[in-house]
Amino acid sequence: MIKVSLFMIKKILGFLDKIAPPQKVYAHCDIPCGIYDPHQAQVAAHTAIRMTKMLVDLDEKDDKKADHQIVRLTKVKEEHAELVKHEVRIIWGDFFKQEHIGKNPGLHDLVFNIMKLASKVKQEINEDAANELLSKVQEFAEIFWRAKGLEPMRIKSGSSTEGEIVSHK
Amino acid sequence: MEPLFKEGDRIVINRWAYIFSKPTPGDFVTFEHPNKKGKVLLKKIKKVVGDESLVTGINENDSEDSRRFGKIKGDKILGKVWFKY
Repeated sequence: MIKVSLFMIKKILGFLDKIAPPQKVYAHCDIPCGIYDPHQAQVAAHTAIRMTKMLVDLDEKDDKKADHQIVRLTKVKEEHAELVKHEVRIIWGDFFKQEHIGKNPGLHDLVFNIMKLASKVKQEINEDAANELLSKVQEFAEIFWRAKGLEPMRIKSGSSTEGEIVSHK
Repeated sequence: MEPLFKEGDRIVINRWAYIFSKPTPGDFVTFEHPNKKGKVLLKKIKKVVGDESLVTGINENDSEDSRRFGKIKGDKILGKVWFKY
């Protein structure tokens, strides 16, 4: 009898849903994957360094070739500096909570600096700015891993920039 | 909010639940996101302070809740979850 009643209630509610669709509610504001990693931001920062270096070292003997190469290198530099901003913003906005800010009072300033440096890397052919950007992103990665309760460690990136990547033990 | 609420679940809320009573810790409530107009959230009341409720998700490590957007005033609560189907 109870089973029949529940079945009937479900049928009635199902019918009501069709004539007056229910409003959507969200248990999370974004997809609750809980998966965050500052690795991509660091790889993008390394790429921005490499593109900047290649632009500095560009052989301009052949104008046509050089123009073509400038466009390609600049495009990749732009994209990866933007990727740094995107990845850092996601972790800053979605992962870090007030309790983390309390333990890392300089976090907001650090993110602000990363945004500004990434813009500078886009605007200029500036190796110092590109290296500084990576350094700040590494600092950000260290704060992130500590917030996750993991001890950060620097390892060789193995990439052509010969720099490091912050991972964890 | 999994495993209690899964994507696609339908819930019925009681919009009059707090006319004669007050929100209580443990209640599941819906309310409009304080910073995103038109987005309705489903959260669990963790603590009630005066007229305001501190809400969290079940999976606190992955939830965006009162720790980020602050407490929810009583008149902002749209209703209490009655049942899901």
